Amino acid sequence: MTVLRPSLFMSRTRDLLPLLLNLPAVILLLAFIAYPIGISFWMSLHRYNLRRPDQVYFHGLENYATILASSEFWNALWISLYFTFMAVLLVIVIAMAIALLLHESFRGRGVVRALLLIPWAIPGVVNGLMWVGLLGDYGAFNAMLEDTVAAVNYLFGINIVYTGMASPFVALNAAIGAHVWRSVPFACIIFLAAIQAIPTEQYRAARVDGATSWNRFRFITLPWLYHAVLVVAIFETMNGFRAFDLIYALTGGGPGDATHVIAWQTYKEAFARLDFGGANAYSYLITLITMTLAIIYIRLLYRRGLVQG
Amino acid sequence: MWRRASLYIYALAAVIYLTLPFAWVAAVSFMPEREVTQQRWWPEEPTIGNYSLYFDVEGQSADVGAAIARQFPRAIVNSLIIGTAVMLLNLTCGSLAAYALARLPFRGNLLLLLFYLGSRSVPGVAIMIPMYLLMRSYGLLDTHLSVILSHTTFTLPFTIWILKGYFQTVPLDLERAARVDGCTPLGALVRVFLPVTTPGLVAVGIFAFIASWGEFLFALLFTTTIASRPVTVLASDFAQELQVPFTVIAAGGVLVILLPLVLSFLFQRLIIQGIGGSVTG
Amino acid sequence: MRMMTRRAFLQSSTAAGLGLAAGCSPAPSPGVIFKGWVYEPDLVRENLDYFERQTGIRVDYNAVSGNYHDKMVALHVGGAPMECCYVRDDDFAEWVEAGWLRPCDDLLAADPDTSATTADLFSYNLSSMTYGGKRYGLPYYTDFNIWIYNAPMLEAAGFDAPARTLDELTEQAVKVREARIRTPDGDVIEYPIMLNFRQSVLGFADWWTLNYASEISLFDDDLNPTFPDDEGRRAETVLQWLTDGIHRHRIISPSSLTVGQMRDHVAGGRQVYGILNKYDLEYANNRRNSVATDEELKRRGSDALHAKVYRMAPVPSISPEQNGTLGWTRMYSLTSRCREDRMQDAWALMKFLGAKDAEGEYYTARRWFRLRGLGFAYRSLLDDPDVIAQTEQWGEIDKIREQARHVRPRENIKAPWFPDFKIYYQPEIQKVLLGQQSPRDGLARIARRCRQLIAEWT
Repeated sequence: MTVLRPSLFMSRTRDLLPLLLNLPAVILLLAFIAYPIGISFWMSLHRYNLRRPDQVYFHGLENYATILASSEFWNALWISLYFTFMAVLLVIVIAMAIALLLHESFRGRGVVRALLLIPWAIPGVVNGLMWVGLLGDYGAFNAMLEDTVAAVNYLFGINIVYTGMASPFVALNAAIGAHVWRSVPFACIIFLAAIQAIPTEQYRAARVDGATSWNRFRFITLPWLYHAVLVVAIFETMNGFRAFDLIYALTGGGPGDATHVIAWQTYKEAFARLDFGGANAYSYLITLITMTLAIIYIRLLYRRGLVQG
Repeated sequence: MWRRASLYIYALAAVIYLTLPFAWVAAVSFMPEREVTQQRWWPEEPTIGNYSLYFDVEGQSADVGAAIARQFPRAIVNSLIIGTAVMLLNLTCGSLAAYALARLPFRGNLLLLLFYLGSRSVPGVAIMIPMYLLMRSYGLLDTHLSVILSHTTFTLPFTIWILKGYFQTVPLDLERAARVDGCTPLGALVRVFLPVTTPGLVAVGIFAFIASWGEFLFALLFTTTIASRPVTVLASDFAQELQVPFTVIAAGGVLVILLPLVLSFLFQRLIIQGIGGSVTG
Repeated sequence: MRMMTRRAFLQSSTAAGLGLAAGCSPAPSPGVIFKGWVYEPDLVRENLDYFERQTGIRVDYNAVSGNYHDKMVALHVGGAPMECCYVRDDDFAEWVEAGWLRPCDDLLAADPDTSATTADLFSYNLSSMTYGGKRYGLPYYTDFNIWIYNAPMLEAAGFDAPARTLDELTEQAVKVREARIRTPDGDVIEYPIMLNFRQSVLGFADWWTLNYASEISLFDDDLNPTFPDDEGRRAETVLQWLTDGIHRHRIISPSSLTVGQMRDHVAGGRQVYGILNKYDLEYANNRRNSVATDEELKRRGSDALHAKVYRMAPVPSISPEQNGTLGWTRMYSLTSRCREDRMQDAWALMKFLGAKDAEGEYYTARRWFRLRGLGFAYRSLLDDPDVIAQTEQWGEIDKIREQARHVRPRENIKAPWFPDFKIYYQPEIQKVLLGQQSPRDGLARIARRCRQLIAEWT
């Protein structure tokens, strides 16, 4: 851990207090997270399948090479990228829409704001069960979708066969929808705060200039929200790549390989194949991808910060 | 006028979007079993029978799943203990670290921030087994402490991040004044700083509590008996019992959600102010 | 100064770690440690209480929450103390290969009474508990899959017997669909057949069932795949029939790819044909669980608990003389960490649960059957008057006896590469059923992967 190199920290007594203040947190994390992270990374460099306890040995980056050469990985990566991209996009759009609404003053705003926190307060396990119920064969949402398709068929004289979650397209996008629903409140809170921080004079001036409401949004609100949007994007990208519980409950990975996201693939390597070497290599590939994306976002943030001076 | 009306339609749409999925679960929890398969939105003949199983603490019921339902009150107490401890640990460790990061310039604070972020970025699947072995070697399996510590480790980086942002929004003058009055940095933190930052502290506290309340994987891994098993794990046991009707599972879901829901309603103003303020500040 | 600080830091953190470890070492358990998945933990405890009274041996029982396989992997890897546990045939090979289970041949050899029960086992159960020539378990519960049809619905569509072959079934099911039968809730049944092709760890039993019904061997004796060029390309024929059933004839519901709890679907009266575990027939024909049965009994003005609304038939096959089905086994095994001084106690527990109790009765198996209808692994119980009387409430003992003679376990379930195979073949078959690839291509791909796995594991 280069982080703890004493020469970096202890050279001045002035640095001692902030370090002491960080000590409880650092000790906790070192004791309970750093060790597992280290071990799991070490495992990723080994051939280590539990079903072959007598054949555990170091073989460098072999696991990574095997994964990068497998079609399953690229398929899963592709699905995860689509999943994450759509999720980030939808979360931003929906959360923004609700944040703009909550910024307006109207009677009952407090109620809407209280209800905003519902999706966030629901535990993951219950969330999974809930969406299984809603989108399953008896699910009320499923019935609604079915009726919608029937209406469309009738109106346009076409014949789309609705097969519910048995359709790869519906399954993947329904999973995204359920994932997005739970993520909206957090993004919305951040947007709301950002909107409220915009100086009102700017709007007044724009109104005087006769700007349309779209232009006011486009040229005043959006630039001010740039920072908040990037923060949400970082969080949601990490969440998107990690999405697993919901998919496990909702689609079981199917139909076909339509919802084999990368976290699902990792889980299967670990607990279906008991290939702990491979599964950990998968984990670090996910980490690498999300960290890379996060760094890109952070660089964007900084560049923007410099521009704004 | 037209603008007013469209605003209310807009608001209605938002309310429907946010509440409909959960409203359905709540409705199902009052349905007799048969109505679930009829794809209804509203119970035709509402019943509270689905809930009675959870309050049958005497355990006379021969119903399927009664053994698990009876443990519900104990599991809720476990969840409360764990959640409260996680909240307190987050607040103490988190506010100290965040204060240093936000206020006291020192070498390596960027490295520390990266360490906090990095510790959060490895997927849970990877660290589950090593963490289990670790808890085992510390002799902590099936104790509240194992769950508390694991939940703290993955909520703490977020807490520090948010609090650091929030602390930075507090005007420097306040502390300067306190320091001029002869306070030590620590004294300034406790007497001047913390009272001003209550919204941020309440927000991250509630956040940590709810995250702990809803966490499942680590709680499942570390607990084996009702001595430590929290309510999410019990709820999943229920779903696992194949003969338990979905209506009863829905009732359990509603019971599990109740506390986080009440908390988020009570503290919504502070949560929004606290979390939002930190990120944009 | 610098060195001091670092050393102090290291010392204090180590001390903290040791302190925790020393302070909380768990007390050794007072009895035989026994773990199982969550199924009726109250009833399990009752059985164990009876055992404790009979023998004076204490049992430290604990139902494992969550995904049983995954949590048990953690427990085994972590070396959690445990004498005895439930094992699914799906995980059996994996757990033996990982070195987590202990063979019990020596204990059986020293225990003639229990050895004698081996001859009473159905052969598919015995083979499912044996690996590499060693015996690892005694049966918990077991069952085989059956074809079921809704008799009143079939009658309403103008048929008095279900089709025997796959082709006949296509013809009959099309007519049933056209008869626009309604469910008890008044919905028209769009697809008469619903099967379970959802991806899951224990999933796809219906694929095996349909193959075995047509007496297809998917793997040869060395566990090499025989498909897609098995005798008469029958595996391909079955898969083609399924695909046509979904897309061309529209007799098989596309929801077959997603529905998990088939039993509830059947009990809701939402399908005419399907495949169930045999013991689920009780559930489907019990008015407490089943709307279909309840409505039928109301129509008859009866206040009985059961009615034979759903009946069993041979699973439809390519030609009429073929008969077979899939069977599976859940067993009790000793773990390799079973403490030497508890071995005899643990074995006594195994015997009580998986064979006979101290009074020479199949106590536990009988009780599970009586209270929850769970299937048993012992032939002689099929001739037991109580069992016959109870079965006749909801099923037909003669048909069950006949079907029981043609049960097979999955051939490759005991290959060390079965877990890898399991996660590969399900999506591939689903892609066939979705029309994303032809049955032949799908089977060929699966076979190719199997051969890779075999090469990898030998």
